[in-house]
Amino acid sequence: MNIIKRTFDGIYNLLKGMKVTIKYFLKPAITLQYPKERWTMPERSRGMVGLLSDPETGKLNCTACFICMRNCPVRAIQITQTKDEAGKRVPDEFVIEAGLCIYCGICEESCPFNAIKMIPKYEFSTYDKKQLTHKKERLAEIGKGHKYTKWS
Amino acid sequence: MSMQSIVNSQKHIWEWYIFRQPVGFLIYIVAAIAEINRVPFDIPEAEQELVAGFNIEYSGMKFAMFFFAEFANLFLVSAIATTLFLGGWNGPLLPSWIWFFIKSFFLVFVIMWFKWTFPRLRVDQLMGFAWKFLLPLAFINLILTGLLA
Repeated sequence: MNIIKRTFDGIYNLLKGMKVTIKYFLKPAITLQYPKERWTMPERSRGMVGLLSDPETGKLNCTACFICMRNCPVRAIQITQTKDEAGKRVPDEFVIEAGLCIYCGICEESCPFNAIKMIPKYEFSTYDKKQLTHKKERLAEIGKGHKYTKWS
Repeated sequence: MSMQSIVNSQKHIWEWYIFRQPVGFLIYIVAAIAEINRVPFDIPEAEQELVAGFNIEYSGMKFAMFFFAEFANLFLVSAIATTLFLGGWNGPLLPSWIWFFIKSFFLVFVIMWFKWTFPRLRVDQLMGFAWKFLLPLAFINLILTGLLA
């Protein structure tokens, strides 16, 4: 008698499993079709470092104070300082080695001038290692349109 | 064994052998899936634990031939089940060959549905199941059918 009961139990449980799979078969797929569809990244996600600029004048907020460079745990930031026509200090070169960057966001936290921010952009892979060196203009372009937000 | 007369003897849906021989149908489906090495009895292939089983050694057209054969087997098994248990080409309105393909591909779908659902059996589990359970069950079914018919 036991084997008959176990047989029917087994068939019942197999049908139960098949009910679950047919339910998911009839629903639309939940897989994101990645290159065609994209997920909107959360605002705080640390995708890439970008330089923020003043929306009115279009100039960079950065004053080349070296704080982010000193705080960077992997030394991915290289800055040289210069002065503009008004005598204000501005970065002459502002280089971020994206290959070294560990996306920790310490540069953003330490910046006293709200000039550097982790931007929720991604897809920065390249075929050439040299293209991972992001110069000032490119960083400004990455940060374009993003505003500084105090999170904590 | 004349398959034509088997099909002709199940003209109406209540005469289909799946209703007259439900145990026979279940045994046939299980044995057929085990014979064509599909989930849950795909022990030589074992896609999820071995990379792809024996056919990892092949590529290109040789690999394609293995899979042509596999899917041809899948359809063949379903076509035989249609003939023997699902009334073959009998059906209303539509032409007979369309009915045959509808029933066969429904069974192909069901076997693929098994593939999404069931985990794989071990070798000893399959052997024990087939020899100790299915074979005696088939004999009992045969004897009972002989007595009743």
